[in-house]
Amino acid sequence: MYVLIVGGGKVGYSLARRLADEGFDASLVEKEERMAKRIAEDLEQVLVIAGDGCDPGRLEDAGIARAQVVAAVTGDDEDNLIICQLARDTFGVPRVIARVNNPSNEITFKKLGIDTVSSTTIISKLIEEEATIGDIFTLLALKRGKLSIVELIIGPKAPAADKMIKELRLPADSILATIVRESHIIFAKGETVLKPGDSIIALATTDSEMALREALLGKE
Amino acid sequence: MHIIIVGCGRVGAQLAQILSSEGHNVVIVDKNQESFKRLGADFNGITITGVGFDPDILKRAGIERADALAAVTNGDNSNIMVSQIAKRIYNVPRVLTRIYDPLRADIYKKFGLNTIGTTTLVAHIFRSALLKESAKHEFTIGNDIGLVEYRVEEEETAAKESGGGKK
Repeated sequence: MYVLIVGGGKVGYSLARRLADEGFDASLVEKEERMAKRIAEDLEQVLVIAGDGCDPGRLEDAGIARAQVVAAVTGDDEDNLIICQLARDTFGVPRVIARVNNPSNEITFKKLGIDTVSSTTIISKLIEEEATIGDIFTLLALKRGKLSIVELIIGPKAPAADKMIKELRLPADSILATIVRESHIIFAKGETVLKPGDSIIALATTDSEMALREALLGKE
Repeated sequence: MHIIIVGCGRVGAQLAQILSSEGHNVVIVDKNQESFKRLGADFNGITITGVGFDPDILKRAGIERADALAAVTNGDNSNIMVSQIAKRIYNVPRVLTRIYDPLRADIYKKFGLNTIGTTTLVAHIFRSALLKESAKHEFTIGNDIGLVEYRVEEEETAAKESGGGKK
């Protein structure tokens, strides 16, 4: 698979190295000639092209027409947007990904249909999760973060301990899927009694996570 | 009309002055506050310091009720990004985009932006003037405006006339 990376900063460099190590056919376009030279000396398996990745001619030189993936990871969001649009709309690249440096630009990319990765947003989300809900863990976020599969552990003093599931007032937008009890898997039914130490796997909308936590574990 | 101009360089500043003196509500945005000095003391529009494609800045500039927007910063990609936000997210009725790179000007014209490729435009005007040719040139600005240049009489300088309107 041929992957074209535009932008040879820390992100672009590491991405190129990793992809090349994993056996991908990767090229990198970097505007600054000195940087491009240094990367080319460092990463022998990566074809490095010195030039402006926003210039359609340069992208053609870099073989964009045969790229399956283009990752635009420069430090300028406007450049990343244009690179992705050129790749997708002019050269028909099936998968394009943009790095977003300023989180306030994320909404623009989304509305213009370009997939983004923003390290600021990812890190702040991780911190938020840690800070606000200590004992509810997000295992998987679905539907762009609107729905999550979460895990909760029932403590000895939790309101849900030693109660049947049907006795609990669970938020409407949530469902308890399975209970892991001493490495046994129990599928949750109305009559199932929850025990301290149970690990509950539940499906919930992001908005109802707090209410679910309260119903099972009580207020913080 | 409520008109937003993004970029207060020579073109942006002059455009803002003209429109403002004609009685339009002009808001001009530039990331560098110093640039607003170009507007002079008579300018009675609003200036906003900030990045033109930042949605918050555009909202402060009144993009939700703007009748028109001109993107004339010195960065092609910034101009393209601002214009797409204005046109596709806020449905601003009239959006014009200055693009220096002829190739990108062509590509984004095909994608529906009203692009003005000033490099090609100026090059052709110079060519005609240098060769004193009576040859007619046509330029398109976006998809619905044409600029036609032709020589009217045997004069030293090539006369120029711009004709707007639907093609």
